[in-house]
Amino acid sequence: MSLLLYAITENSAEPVDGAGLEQRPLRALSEDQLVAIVSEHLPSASGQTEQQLLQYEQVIESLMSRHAILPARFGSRFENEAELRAMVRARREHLASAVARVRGAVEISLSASWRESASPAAPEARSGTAYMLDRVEQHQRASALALQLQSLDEIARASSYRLLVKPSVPVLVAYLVDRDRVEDFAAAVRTLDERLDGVELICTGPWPPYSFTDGAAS
Amino acid sequence: VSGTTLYASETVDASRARQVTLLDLLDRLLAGGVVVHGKIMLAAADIDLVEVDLSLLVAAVETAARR
Repeated sequence: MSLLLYAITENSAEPVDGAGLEQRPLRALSEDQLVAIVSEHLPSASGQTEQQLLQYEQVIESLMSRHAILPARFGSRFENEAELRAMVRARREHLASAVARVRGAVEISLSASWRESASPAAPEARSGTAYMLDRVEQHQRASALALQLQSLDEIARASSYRLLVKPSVPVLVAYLVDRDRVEDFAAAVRTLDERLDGVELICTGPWPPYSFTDGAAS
Repeated sequence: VSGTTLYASETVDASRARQVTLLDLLDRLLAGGVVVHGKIMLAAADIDLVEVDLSLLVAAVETAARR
């Protein structure tokens, strides 16, 4: 049997129970003050489906309601318990600080785009230089837009900005927000939206802290 | 799934807001989370994702594949 990893959490009195994908029971593997939450599956597990993605998210959210967790990327499998324990031991310090960082917080996403989509000229009509200049201009505009969103950072514990994930989304931000401040955050987005000109905002969440598991965001 | 549209500008219609919400979820599931040394099972083959921007999904899957 291989192990499907759902999340890393910390030792606590709260038991780990419930079911994972394919109704397999969840297990808690304690290792050096951390706990890996897994379920056992046949090594040749069937292909993944949209339904399983949603089930996985539901398992993560259920765990998050009772534990401070670092969600694992969907489909993280280990051949055996020893392999998983070795990973946790090797990254213990990093994982422990990341768990502490997300305790009591959720993730919120904000996408900011231009109200009138400024699509570039057809590629065949432009030279390489024109293309590069266009990219530079897009990046400058996206950077300027990101600066206009920075007031939201004051409500968040941390934020992670991505520019030009695709041309129609110049700025995509993940925020780590205290669980009890989600409504405050949404209200602040509304207030900001009223001040911005020519920009559309879409704010979604609350999500498990998928974007704040590596300690790299600021 | 508890994640939903918390706020959208007035000019954003409901279907686009739903698409963005779904994309936000997929982006996190497939390209976020703790990256471990274990194997990643990719989730592309059997997914029937209608009305979503496949370029972002493909980018997320490619990111997962590189890990």
